[in-house]
Amino acid sequence: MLNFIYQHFSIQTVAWLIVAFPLVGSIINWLIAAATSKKETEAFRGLTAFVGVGFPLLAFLAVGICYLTLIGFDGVDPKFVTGPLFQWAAGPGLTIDIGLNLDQLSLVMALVVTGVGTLIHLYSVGYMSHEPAYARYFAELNLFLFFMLILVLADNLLLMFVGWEGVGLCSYMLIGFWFEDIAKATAGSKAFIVNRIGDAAFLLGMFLIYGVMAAAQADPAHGYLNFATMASNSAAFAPVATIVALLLFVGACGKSAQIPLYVWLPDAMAGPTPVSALIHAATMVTAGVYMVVRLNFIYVLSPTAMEVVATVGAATAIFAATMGITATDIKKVLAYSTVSQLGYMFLACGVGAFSGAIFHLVTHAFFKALLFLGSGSVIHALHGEQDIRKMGGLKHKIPLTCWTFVIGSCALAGIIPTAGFFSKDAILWHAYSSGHIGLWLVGFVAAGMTAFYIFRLVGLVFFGQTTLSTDQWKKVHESPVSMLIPLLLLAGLSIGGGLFGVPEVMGGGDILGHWLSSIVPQVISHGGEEMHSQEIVLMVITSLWGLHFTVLGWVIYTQKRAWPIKMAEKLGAMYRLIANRYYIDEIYDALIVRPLVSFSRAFLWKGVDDVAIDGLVVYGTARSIGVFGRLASLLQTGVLQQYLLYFLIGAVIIVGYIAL
Amino acid sequence: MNWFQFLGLTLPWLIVLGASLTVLFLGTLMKRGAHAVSMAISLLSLVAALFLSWQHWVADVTVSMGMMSFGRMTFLGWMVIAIASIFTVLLSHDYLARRKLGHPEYYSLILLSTVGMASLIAGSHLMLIFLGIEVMSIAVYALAGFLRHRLSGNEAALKYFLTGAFASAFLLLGIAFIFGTTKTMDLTVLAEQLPTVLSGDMASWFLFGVAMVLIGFAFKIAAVPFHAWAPDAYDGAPTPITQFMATAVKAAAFFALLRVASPLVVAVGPGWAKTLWLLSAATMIIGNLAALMQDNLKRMLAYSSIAHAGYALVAFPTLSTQTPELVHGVIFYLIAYTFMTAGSFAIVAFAQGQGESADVSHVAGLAKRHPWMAASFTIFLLSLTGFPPTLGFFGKYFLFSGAIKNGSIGLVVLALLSSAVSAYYYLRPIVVMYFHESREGVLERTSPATSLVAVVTIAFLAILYFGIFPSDLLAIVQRSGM
Repeated sequence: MLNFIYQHFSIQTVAWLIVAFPLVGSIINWLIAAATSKKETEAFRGLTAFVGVGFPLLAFLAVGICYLTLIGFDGVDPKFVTGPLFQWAAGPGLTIDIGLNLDQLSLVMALVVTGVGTLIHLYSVGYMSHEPAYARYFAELNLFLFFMLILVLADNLLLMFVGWEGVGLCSYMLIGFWFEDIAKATAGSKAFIVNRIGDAAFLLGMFLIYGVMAAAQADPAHGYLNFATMASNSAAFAPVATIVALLLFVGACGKSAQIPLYVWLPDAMAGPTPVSALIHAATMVTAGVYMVVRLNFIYVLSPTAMEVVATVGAATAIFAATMGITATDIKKVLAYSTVSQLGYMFLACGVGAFSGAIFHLVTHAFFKALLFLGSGSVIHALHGEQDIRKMGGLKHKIPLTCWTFVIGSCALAGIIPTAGFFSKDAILWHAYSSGHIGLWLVGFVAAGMTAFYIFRLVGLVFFGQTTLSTDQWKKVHESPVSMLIPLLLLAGLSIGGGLFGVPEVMGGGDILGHWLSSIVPQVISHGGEEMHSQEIVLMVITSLWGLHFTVLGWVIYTQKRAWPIKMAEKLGAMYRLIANRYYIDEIYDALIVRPLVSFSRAFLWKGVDDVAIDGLVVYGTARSIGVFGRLASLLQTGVLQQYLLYFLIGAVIIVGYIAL
Repeated sequence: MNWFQFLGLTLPWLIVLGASLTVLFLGTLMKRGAHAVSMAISLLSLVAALFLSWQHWVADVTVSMGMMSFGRMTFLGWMVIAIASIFTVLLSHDYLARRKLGHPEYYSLILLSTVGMASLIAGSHLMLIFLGIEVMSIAVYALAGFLRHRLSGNEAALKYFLTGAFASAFLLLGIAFIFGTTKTMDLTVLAEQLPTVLSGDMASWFLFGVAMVLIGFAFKIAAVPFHAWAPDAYDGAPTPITQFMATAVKAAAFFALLRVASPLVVAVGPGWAKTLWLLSAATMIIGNLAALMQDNLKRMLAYSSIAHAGYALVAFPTLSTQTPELVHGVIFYLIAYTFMTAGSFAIVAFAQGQGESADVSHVAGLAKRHPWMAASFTIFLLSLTGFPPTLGFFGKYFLFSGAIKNGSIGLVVLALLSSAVSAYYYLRPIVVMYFHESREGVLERTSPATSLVAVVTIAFLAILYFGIFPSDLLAIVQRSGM
C-alpha cells in the first residue's frame, strides 16, 4: 500500500492533499447547503455526512502516510518542506511563499488535529442529526479543519497567520451557529472581538520580526518570515527578543484564552457541543501554545518573556480552576477546565519544557475531547439540559457514556496510569526542577482543584440520587453508535496516550521528547541519582494529592450533597465572588467596554466623527472635490472650436518646454 | 531582405487583412445571414492572429526588416490588440443585431483598423508609424459614426475626425521637421545620429519636431489637454466601438509611443521630464475630477479611460533605455486596463439594452436580476479602482513602484490621491446595483447574449487569476524585453 503510494505520488503531493481534503469536503458541503432549500436537505443528509466525515478521514490517512514516511528516515533529521506551492508575492525584500513544512512538531499537531477531528466529525453525524442546517454545519467544520491544518503545517509565519485568522473565523461562525438566538450570536461576536485584541499584538510582533530579519540581511529566498530563515538567524532577535516574544504571547493569550483575554471561551460554549470539543478544547485553542513552541528560539532568548509566560500560565491555571469548582453548567465546567489546562501548557513553555507543553497538549486533546463529547452525550440524552444540579444517577441509564466520562475525568485529574498523569506530572516536575518552586506550588494546588471539580461533576451527573422527575427519567436514552464509537476510541487514547511520554525514571523512553528534540531545546538535564529520586518523590506526592481530591470530590457530591451548600453559605462572600467568576466580565464591562462606548459615542462619534471627519474631511473634501469636478466638466462645452483651443494651449506648452 | 521570413512574421495580420476584404465582398454578395458570417470570419481571423502572434512570441524572433522591426515586445503588442479586438467583435454581434445594423462593412472596418495598429506597433520608421496611425484612425472615424441615424453618432464621428485631422497635421509636421534635421525617418538610424544632431545648429528645429510628434501621440492616448474629443466621441459611438477606442486604439498608441520615445527621451533632456510630468498630472486629475460628475456610464468610463492614460504616463518622465521596469510597468498596466475596461463596457452594453445611452440608474437592481453580471461588474470596477486581489491593483503596484524607484515620488503621490478620488465614481454603480431597486420597465429578465457573457467571463477570470497570480503575467511582460 505504502509502496504503491510512493510509486505514484511524491510525498510533497501527499502533504498538499492533507490540507486539500478538508477544503474539498467543505466546498462540496457549501454547495449542498447553497443549492438546497431547507426541505430538500433531508435528501442530502447521507451525502453530507459521508463527505463531511470522509474527507477528514482521508486527511488523517494522508497525515499517517507522511508520518510513516518520516519515521522511515532513520538517523537523519526527519523533516521535509514542500517548498512553495506557489509564490504568492515577490518583490525586493518581500517574498511570500505558500509552502508547507512537515517536521516532528507539525506532524504531531496534524495527527492530533485530523485524528481527533475525524472522530468529532463522526460524532457530529449523530449529535446534529435533528439539525436543519446540516450541510452548513459540516461545511463550516470541514473549513475549520482546513484552516487549522494550514496553521500547523505552514512553513512561514504569514501563512500561519492566515490559518490563525481562518480558524478564528470558523470559530465565530460555529459559536454563532444558531444565530437566530441573539445571545449565541453575541457570544460569537465576543469571541471574535476579544481575539482581535490578541491578533493586533500578533501582527505587531510579526512586523517587528520582519524588521529584524530585514535589518539582519537574512536570506530573502523564502521570505523573511519563513520559520527556517528565522531560526537560522535567531541571534539577530537578541536585542528585541523580549518585546517580540511578549507581543506574540498577547496573540497567544487571545487565541488560547489566557488571562486577561480568556473571557470569550466560557461564552463560546454557546456553540454545538462537538464544536466545543473540536475547536474550543482540542485544537484551535491550543494554537497559541503551538505558536510559542514553534517560535521557541525567540522565547529562549528572553528570560523575562519566559518568566511572564510561565507566570500568566500558572495564574490562569489556578484562577480558572477555582471558577470550575463553582460553575453549574456542565459545559462551562469543562470550559474553565480547558482554560486552566491551557495555563499548564503555557507554564510548561515558560519554564522551558516545550516538549512537555506539546505532550500535555496532545493528551489534553484526547481527554478533553472525550469529556466534551461525553457531556454532549449527556445533554443529548437529557434533551438539552445542561445544569448539573438537575442531573444525577445517570450511570444506570447511560452506562457507556458514564464510564468513558469517568476515564476522561481520571485523565484530567491525573490519576495513574492515564495519559493526563504523565503529561501533567512532566510539567510540574519541569517547573520544580528548573527552580520555579513558587510556580510549581501554584500548579500543584491547581492540580488538586482540578481533580476536585471534575469529580464533583462526575458525582453530580452520574452518581448518587437523581434529581430528575420520573417523566424525564424515562426519556433518558443512550446515544447512537456513531456517537459512542468516538467516545470509546478517545477513552482508549486517554488511557494509553501517555505512553508516548513516560519519563525515563519510570523506565519509559520519553518518546515524544526525543521525537521533538531537533526542534525544541532540551532544557532539563536528568543528571544525577539525586534528581531521579526527587522526581520519583514528587511524582508520588502529586499522584496522591490528585487521588485524594478525586475521592473527596466524588464522595461529597454523591453522598453528602448538603454539605457543600452549607460550606458555600459559610464562605459567603468568597463563594459568591468565585461563583460570579470574580465579576471579571462586569469589571471589563465597567472599566473597558462602557468607558470605551461612552467615550466613543460622546467624543469620537459626535465630536470627532460627525464634526471633524464627516463634516470637514469627508463632506468637506467631497464638496470641494465636487466643485473641482464641476469645473472640470465645465471644460466640456461640446463646442469644437474650444476643444481645438485647449489643443493649441497644450501644444504651445509642450513646444515651449521641449524645443526652447 | 528575406521576403519569405517577412511574410511569415506578418502572417497574422495578412490573415486579418484578407478576412477584412472577404467580409467586404461577402457583404455585396450575400443578402441574408451576412451579419453572422462576417462576424464569424472576423472572429476566426483575429483568433488566428492571436495564436500566430503567440507562436512568434514563443519562437522569440528578433529581427529588423525594412520599415518594421520585430521582437517579443511587438508580438506582445499584437496579442493585446488582438484580444481587445476579439472582445469588440464579440460585443458587436448582439449590439448590432438588436439595432438591425448588422452590416459587414462594420467588421471589415474593425479588421482594417487592427491591421493599422499592427503596423503601428511593429513600425520602426516614422512614415510607417504615421501610416499605421492613419489606417487605424480613419477606420475608427467611420465606426464612431456608425449609428448614422443618430445625432450623437454623427457628432461623435465629426468631432473625432476634425480634431483627429488637426492632430495628424501636428504629427506629420513633426515628422517632417525630424526628417529635415536628420535626413532620416528610421528610428534606429535616428538614435545613432542623435548626438551629432543635438550638438549641431539644427538642434532646436529637431526638438520642435519631437514636440510635434509627442502632441500627435498625446492626442491618440487622449491626454489632457488633447482629450476633449474623447467624452463626446466615446458617448456617441456604438458601445463596442467605444470599448475598441478605449482599449485597442489606446494600447496600440502606447506601444508605439514607448518605441518612439525611448530613443528620443535621452536626447530631449529635462524638458521631456517636465512636459510629461505636466501631461500625466493634468490627465489624471482632470480625468478623475470630470468623471465624478457623470451620470452617463459611457461618459464616466470615457473620463476614467483618460485618467488611466494619466496613470500610465506616470512612467514616462523618467523613461530611458536603462529603465526596463518602467516599460514593463506600462505594458502590464495596459494589459490589466484592457481586460477591466473591456469587461466594463460589456456590462454597459448589456445594461443599455436597446437604449441610446446607459445611465447609472440603468444598473439599479442588477444584483437581483443578474447576480453574476453584477458580481462581474463589481470586480471590474474594483479592479479599475485598484483594489487587491484584482489585476488592477497589481497593475498600479508595478507601475507606481517602478516610478518611485526612479524618483517620481511627487507624481506617484498625485496618482494615488486622484485614484482615491476615483473610488467615489467607481463604487457608485456598485452601490446602485446592490442597494437600489430596479427602475420601472426594466423588470423583464432579458438574458445576456452568449457572446457578451463570453467577454465578461474571460475578463472576469483574467482579472481574478492574474490578480492572485500576478507573477505569471509579469513574467510574460518581463521576458518581452524592451
